[in-house]
Amino acid sequence: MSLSGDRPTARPRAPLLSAVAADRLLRIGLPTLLIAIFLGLWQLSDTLFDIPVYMLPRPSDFVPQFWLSFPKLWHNTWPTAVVILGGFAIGTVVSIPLAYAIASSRMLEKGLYPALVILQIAPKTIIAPLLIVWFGTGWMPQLALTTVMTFFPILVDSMTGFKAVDPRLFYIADSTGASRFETFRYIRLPAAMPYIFSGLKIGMVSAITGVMVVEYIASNAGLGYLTLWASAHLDMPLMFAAILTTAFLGLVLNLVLTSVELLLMPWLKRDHDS
Amino acid sequence: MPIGFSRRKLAVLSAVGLMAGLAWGTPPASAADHMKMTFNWVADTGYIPFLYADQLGYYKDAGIEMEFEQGRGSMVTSQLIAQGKADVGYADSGAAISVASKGGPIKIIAVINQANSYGLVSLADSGIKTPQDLIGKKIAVCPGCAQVPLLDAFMAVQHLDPAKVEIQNVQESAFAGLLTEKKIDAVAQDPQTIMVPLAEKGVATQMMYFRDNGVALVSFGLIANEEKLKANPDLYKRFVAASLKGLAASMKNPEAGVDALRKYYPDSAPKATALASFTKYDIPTFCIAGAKSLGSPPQSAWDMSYEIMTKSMNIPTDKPMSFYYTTDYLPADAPSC
Amino acid sequence: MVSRIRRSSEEAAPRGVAGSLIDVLNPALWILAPLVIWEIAARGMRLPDYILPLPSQVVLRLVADRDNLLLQAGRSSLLIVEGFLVGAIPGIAVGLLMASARLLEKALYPLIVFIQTTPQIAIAPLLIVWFGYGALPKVMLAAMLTFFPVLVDSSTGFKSIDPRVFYVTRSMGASRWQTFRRVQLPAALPLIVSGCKISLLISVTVVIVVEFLSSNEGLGYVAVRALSNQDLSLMFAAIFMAIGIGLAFSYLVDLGEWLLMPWVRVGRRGR
Repeated sequence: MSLSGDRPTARPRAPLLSAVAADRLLRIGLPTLLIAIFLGLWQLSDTLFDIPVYMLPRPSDFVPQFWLSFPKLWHNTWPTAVVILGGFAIGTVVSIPLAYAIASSRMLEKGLYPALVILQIAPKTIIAPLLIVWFGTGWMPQLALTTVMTFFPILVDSMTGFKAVDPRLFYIADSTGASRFETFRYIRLPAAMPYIFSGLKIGMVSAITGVMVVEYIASNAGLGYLTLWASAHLDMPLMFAAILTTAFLGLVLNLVLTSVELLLMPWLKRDHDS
Repeated sequence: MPIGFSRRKLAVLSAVGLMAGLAWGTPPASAADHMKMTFNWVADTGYIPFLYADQLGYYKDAGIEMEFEQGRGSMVTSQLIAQGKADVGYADSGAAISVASKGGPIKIIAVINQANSYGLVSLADSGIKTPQDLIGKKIAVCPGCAQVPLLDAFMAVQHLDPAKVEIQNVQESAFAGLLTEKKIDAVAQDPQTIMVPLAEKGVATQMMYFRDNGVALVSFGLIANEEKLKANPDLYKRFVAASLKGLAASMKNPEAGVDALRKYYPDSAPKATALASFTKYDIPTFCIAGAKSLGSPPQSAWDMSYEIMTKSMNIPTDKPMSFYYTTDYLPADAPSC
Repeated sequence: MVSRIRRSSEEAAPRGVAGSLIDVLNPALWILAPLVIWEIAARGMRLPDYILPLPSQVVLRLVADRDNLLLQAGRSSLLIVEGFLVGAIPGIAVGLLMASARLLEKALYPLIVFIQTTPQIAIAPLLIVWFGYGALPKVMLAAMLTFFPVLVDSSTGFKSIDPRVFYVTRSMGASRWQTFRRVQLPAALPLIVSGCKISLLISVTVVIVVEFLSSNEGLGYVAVRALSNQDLSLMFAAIFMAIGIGLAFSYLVDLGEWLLMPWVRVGRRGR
């Protein structure tokens, strides 16, 4: 059986592994192999490349940190996660309706969109110290900045989604006497969903970046704070552990989003979409 | 399989692209009489002795061409010196010794500020008079700054429970605003950077020096990488001699020193502010009681520093203080105190 | 009603001079309105200028300090472009590689997703410690953050080519280079350009943020110095200048798109 379309197959042969099993093996096995090689080289880095351990800790130095410093890592994951989720939620709630409004009105799109682009281009993270001076060193500046950073990617992709509906579908809706809300719920929203989720995934990463930058500028808790604290105290293994924990947090949040996506859009066979 | 551009060529291209980009950004290796000096912070009055020395031609006379680089924290500067990224650094001794105790091959070859100017600055009407008043208050410290280990030591010596005092990591640029807006009760900073500018704006502040409260450490000094010192000791001797000459000259003529700072770094503090800071707060620290000459604090200061560092700053006791500094590079005729 | 929705997105814009006038005034209003509100509110509340300066003050400062700001803007721009090129060119190359070799794609894809979801900004302090205060950490971080979006978009673009097209090119005896230049690249170009547009703006943000956190030149540095001196007018002037650079780059890419792809009608569509 050929996997590549309508080209004639070569001599038919009984495969060693079924196609699905082979595919799975490659998809999981290869990256794992690459990671293993990479970690191996890293572990030997101070003998192979003569890098001192206080500059680049080896995996054997920082991996134990995950249970040695588990309280610190766990304790600091929560403030960061809460702000990420909060900012993300607010950003989503504000941007999706706005995207719909902009997609529905030409005038609004031509007028508001350039202003939003400027807001996106502006280096918002520079305002962070100012936000802190205005609102104090609490969660408020962090939340505000995270929201602003999440907002635009979700807005843009949602807009594209809402505009991407085949107009002919509206003829059907019209002829069956659907109400405005029904049209939205059964045609526009499902059509826009893939795009919205694409935006949400990017928005999630933006939220995490936003929180990190704010924590680098002012914080007393969180994974960014822990990274800087470890750096300031020259505790490189802890610093690496904190950075990796942040990466895992991002991974977990991304997985949650993907699961929700599959739940809401079971008709999509997700193969290799980012 | 669709026809594609040769995969091997692509792989090479990608690698070359990345390499080219990295090489482009890598600084060139320094020649024997070129010295790169990284400071502890952005341009401020701490630079004056060296910039003035450069302006007066002392380095040129010693056969050295100087390159100055601004820094962002004594800890980072110490780490950079440990990796040989610059030839000499101006950093806080506490930070440098922290790095050295973890294996960083650096030595303190001269001490410029023999007394420590750091402390907790608060508004004059904040009611913070003693260290115990800090309980329940918010303190801001900048990550990677020299103040970090100093604050840790201060808390330990004064028996302040870290759980009862709220310490915030804040970028130094926000300190002034936070203080005036009363979002923070005290900042770990030196008078030059915060008290003088705020005084000019009409905001009165008060200072609780670390040195008056059990943490009298030697402060900023010149640090260098051990390998580089071994490779060219004469260069470093000439450098230290020229620097100390500049230091003495700036003490005699502070205004000219400030002019030099403003000339090299026009976006540093305005002249009046810098002059006030330099004369009131920097000059008194260049020599302390018992010091024989510039650049070399008395043994008692080293001993006291060692005691504080080992007791309250987690510096291990396996090496004596003399391991961390050396007087070998001080000139025989260093300007006296 | 449904028909109302459909019609409003197809509504014909008024034509002629009135139409063009509205086309310009419409966005201009949306941009100026917040500035006007800012000016009035700040004046009304009599905020000291170290809490929030007036837009008018910022603009005056922008003009007064334009020499220094332009100089620093130039420095930042150099880094932005460097970071972008170092990331985008390998991104396109590896994208093509991945599109041609399913094996490679399967091996790398999960890793790419993992790296893309990690907050790459988290390693900024690490890069500074390793590489110092020069251009290298900024260029590296910008390159890393540019590489992945361009990679993903290029790979998608190259994969979107119908394999049967290659029968034609093979049967006509096209060389590999010819196939790349005349078939693969043009087909993938829209997506590549789209990826580049996003990446360039990411590069702008990254460079300015890293400059702000730890650099001694560039617009980010100007902003942080201004902030330490409580000179907020200058800080906002630097931010406005950074916005200007971002817009300029954005238009440059649009221009490039128009030049490279004359066969595509470039509408104002966000990605």
